[in-house]
Amino acid sequence: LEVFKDKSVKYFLNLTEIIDTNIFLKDGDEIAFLPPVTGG
Amino acid sequence: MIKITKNKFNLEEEFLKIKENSNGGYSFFLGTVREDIKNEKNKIQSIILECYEKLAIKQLSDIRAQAIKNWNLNNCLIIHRIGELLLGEKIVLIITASAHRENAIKACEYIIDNLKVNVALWKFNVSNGEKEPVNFKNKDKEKFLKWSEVINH
Repeated sequence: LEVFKDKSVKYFLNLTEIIDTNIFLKDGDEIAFLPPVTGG
Repeated sequence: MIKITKNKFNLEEEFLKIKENSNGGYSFFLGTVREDIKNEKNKIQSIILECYEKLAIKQLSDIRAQAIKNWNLNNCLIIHRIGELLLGEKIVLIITASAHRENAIKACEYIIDNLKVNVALWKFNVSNGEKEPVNFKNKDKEKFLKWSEVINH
């Protein structure tokens, strides 16, 4: 759970943002740790 | 219609994709690459836009659906370019279409405010051959948060 402490980063599991960090991962899951976005 | 592309786009061609007789008003937002007037020494030559495309498409689709529902739009088109773009080039196009202008204008503003703080795209300035990430702007987040009073979830 240490990884979730950076509040500037957003976390996604299979393209859905992780809000509840109490998650279980299985084979094939796609995880993304994303810095603040700057598009547009 | 949602598109993330390396290719240039034409405003009139994109407008014709969304044009219908039932629309009484359209609103356009076009974002372009601008000079960094605050930084005289390191003038920007271009920008590079990177993207987590699968996620960005999903996020843009969600934002589009929310805008259509909230402002009763007839249609909505969002195009965002990626890759290297030179000064003055088009980055992002949003066109909203509705029976009346007020809804189209508000929805268009909502979409760009949301996109700027939530969609998986990252901008880098290229200056003197160096690529430097653009910083996230808190004022963009503050502007987006004001929409929570307007949007029906």
